[in-house]
Amino acid sequence: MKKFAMIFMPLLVVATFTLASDDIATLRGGPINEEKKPPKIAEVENKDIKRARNYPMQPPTIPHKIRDYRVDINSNKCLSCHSRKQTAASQAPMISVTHYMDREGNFLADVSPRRYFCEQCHVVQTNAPTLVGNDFKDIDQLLREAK
Amino acid sequence: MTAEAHEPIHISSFIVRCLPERLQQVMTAVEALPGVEIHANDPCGKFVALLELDSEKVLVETITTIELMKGVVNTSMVYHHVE
Amino acid sequence: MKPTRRDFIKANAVATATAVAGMSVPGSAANLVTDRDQTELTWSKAPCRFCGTGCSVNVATRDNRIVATHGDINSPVNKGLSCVKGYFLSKIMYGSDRLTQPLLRKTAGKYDKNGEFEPVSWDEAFDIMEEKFKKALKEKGPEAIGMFGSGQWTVWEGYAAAKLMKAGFRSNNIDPNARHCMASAVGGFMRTFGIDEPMGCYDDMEHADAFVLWGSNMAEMHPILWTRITDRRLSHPHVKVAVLSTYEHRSFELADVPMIFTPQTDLAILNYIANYIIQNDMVNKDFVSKHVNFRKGTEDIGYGLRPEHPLEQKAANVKTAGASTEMSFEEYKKYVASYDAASVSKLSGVPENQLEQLAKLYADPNIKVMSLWTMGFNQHTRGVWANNLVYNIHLLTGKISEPGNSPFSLTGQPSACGTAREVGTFSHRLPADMVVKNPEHRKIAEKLWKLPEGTVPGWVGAHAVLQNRKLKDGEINAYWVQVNNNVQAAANLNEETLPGYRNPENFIVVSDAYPTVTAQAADLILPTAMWVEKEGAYGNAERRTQFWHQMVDAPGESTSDLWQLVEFSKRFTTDEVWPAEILDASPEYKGKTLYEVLYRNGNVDKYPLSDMDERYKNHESEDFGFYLQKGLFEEYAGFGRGHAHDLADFDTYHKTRGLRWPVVDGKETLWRFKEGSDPYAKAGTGWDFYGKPDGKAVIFALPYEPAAESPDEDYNLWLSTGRVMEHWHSGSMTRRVPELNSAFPNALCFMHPADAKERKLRRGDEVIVRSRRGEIRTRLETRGRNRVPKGLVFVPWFDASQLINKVTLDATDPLSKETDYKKCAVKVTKA
Repeated sequence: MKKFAMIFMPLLVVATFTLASDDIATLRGGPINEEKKPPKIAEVENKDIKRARNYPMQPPTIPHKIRDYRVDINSNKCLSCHSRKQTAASQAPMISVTHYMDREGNFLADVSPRRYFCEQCHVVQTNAPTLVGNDFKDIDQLLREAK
Repeated sequence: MTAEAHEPIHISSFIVRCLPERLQQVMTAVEALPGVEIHANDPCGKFVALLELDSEKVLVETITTIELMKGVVNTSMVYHHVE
Repeated sequence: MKPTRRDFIKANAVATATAVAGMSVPGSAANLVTDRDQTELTWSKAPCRFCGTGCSVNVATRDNRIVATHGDINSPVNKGLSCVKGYFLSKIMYGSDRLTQPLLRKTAGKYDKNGEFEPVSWDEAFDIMEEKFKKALKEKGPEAIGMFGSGQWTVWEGYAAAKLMKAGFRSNNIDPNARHCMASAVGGFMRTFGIDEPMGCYDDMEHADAFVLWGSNMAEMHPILWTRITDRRLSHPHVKVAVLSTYEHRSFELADVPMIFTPQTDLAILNYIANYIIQNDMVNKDFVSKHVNFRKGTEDIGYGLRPEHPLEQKAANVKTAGASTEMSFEEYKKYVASYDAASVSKLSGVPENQLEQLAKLYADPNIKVMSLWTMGFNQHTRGVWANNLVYNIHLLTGKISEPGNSPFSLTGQPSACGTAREVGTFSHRLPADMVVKNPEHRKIAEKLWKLPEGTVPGWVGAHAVLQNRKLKDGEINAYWVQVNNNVQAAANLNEETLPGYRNPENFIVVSDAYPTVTAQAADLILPTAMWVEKEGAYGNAERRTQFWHQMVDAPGESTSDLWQLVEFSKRFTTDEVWPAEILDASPEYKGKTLYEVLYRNGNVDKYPLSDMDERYKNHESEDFGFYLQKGLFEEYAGFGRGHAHDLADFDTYHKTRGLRWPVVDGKETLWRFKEGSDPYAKAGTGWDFYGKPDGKAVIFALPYEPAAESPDEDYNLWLSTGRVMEHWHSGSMTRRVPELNSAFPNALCFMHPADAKERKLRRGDEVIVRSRRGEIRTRLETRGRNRVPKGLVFVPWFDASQLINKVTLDATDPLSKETDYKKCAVKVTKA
């Protein structure tokens, strides 16, 4: 019995060695030469609830689905709710005043073309799980900790 | 909000001022009251009490109880939210 | 009342009362902080960590942490804008699995390639590295060690690495991951102009009348530059935008002329345009006669595969791939005549009228046209040709080096220009466009480096793809990887990369901030500092060199790549790694450490700590006792000053939002080769292509040749790989930012709905994407931002859990050695 246990132990230890080192790449979660089942295509969150921002200048993430929302030289679907003209009717948040400024900081009558393609800054969020935590602390947290 | 509307909630906060030498006893007594939490406090004789109660009647009764405690000088309501 | 709402109201109640009472509450802040002392943040500038656009951001720090970043309103590049990745820069270094200690594979307390990773001290890490590198050098020589670096190295990291490898260890087996992105562009520049990097600058975007995107998806990959093009196009309706690609992507949203072409046929389209210009008598004859030579390039040059491969055996001119012969304009005219509208339309799938629309943008002398390309042209088995061919049409029409007329090679990485190309961290290069094969260039390097003649080796080292092959074949045995994720990035993972890294004869060191798949495949992992955790400099696509200071500390025991390289050099002496002949001829170098001869040579250690800006930390300099970054930079700048690669002095860059070289007499150069704008363009020339001995650029006659592996009966789809906006490269930084990860969590296989139906597949199905070399499992996408044509699928490579490079082919451009990631043959089946 004792002998068996002594032989058994190192084998166990070796097995855990291989497993532990074969998944240190946290974003992969397994050996390089194995294929795992891929997660289902994530669903876009569509609750229309504003999300917290990490700092004032961060562009808000989009709280709703945007499937088939066309933004091209012919039309801009986002502005049909979010432009200054439309917000009273749509109750959607107006794009911030920065979107009306040109490269030199002058105000324009309408949305600046440099801000035309919304999705370069604004992205949707999905129900995909967070793979790796993030320890970012915003300024309020830091001030609290300092007190 | 609509589902819970028929059960009112009163959330309010108070600053309670008392004699500095009675601070501990007052805080203990106040904290023992149902629906009351103590948050910040200052040795000069003041503390913040948070009340979470389900009717105006109970709210008034609780405040009166606190005001009548030995050593309490004054209570002032700062915040009151009803839903 | 919902619990979260209740908590919120309770917190408010407490906070308000507390504020009124003048008390502080542990664990909850007052609802507004106005005290200046508290709200004041320290702001400092830095270039963005991500793409080659090189936006400048302001970084706010507090208590040794980054709390915010903002597009720098003072930077001419982005004028206050960032893209979504740039807006989340403040989170990229806070992934909770940040590496903080060196990790070595061990069993029973000793190094074992199949052991588990255990934390070790830096001393022990360097001990084992020293042992393995010395063993390889002793047993096989400098050809048995290698280094794979990066276009994301800072300028002085790349320079220190190049010195350590080329002058210290005397090995040219150093290559950057920029080999995967810009090598073809470099090849194009050198063949056509004799000198590297774009002649125009971003200012061209505010002047052009037409923009042509050749296979680049600027909307997602150079978003801020796209905002400048969008601004120009939407503010000036006469402006036209043509977008060419093998599939429809977001850049098509702005396209007036959208063109989908069969992969590889971009070569034919380019020749068609040249033919059109000539046939319609739109050649700028004056310009061509004064400034252009014609040459016929060698054809049938192979595909950069292993020599035994049938395609390599079949190719006629593998060994003479780079050669060319003189030709006349008439001969060139005849050469391109076969590229007429009908045949090119048939080959490429692009309708004739669209081809003509595109050609007119180049032919019409009144249209200022800017051509923009990146990986579509560069990651191409005829990438150098594609670069040459697009220069052809700008040269035929004289549309070059003036505002708006601009063939512009866009750069992918933040410092592929500033570090990899300008410093020359390639297997065949030295700084300032010099090459190891040229004995005069080696002499110049040895002189500037204060080293004995013969130190710098003249043999061309192993480039990226060859390094992987040599690792697999056991020819490179000690290998150091810095600032890249090549196990995820290199093509043909199963057959080449992974066997190489896991070859028992090899010792692999990986320096990274996070545990990537490359780290997982390694033997020793070194925890490394990121971005503003060290003082750095990057050079962007428009030749703008930008500096930043160290703003926060790196976590745990992590150190910068620079510190690691310089510290490691202390472990070697000249007696151990230089041959006796050199030391006997120059005995004063005997018995010195590489640290002394490379970094304490009077140049690199020239500047005292007192030269540093006292507001900022600088761990490397503090550790070594002198202003290391300044010394490295100034020694490096000595290579280029006076040779059309002039950099300003070190201190100036810390003050400006970068300057575009050549910087002469404090003035940056916007348009090179043009008299008046470029100080090196001689008076009276108009245009002076001074990279070539006779001042003339070269138009190359080059043909269409097919891809290495096209779809066939078994593998009946083209596979194109690339990126998405939300993720940078292999996702090691962006997938650790919750908002970016959530926005695009996993790779997908984009397929045309008809192709899906034919294969009995539906959106969301788990599918296998398989080639002759390997397979991955992913989910099928039939809609979304990329609308692929029938016969092609697209898979992005950011996802460590879906390594598409198991499927790709390691065929390269034989001239540039750059891998073609856009073309191989796959089949897609239900899992």
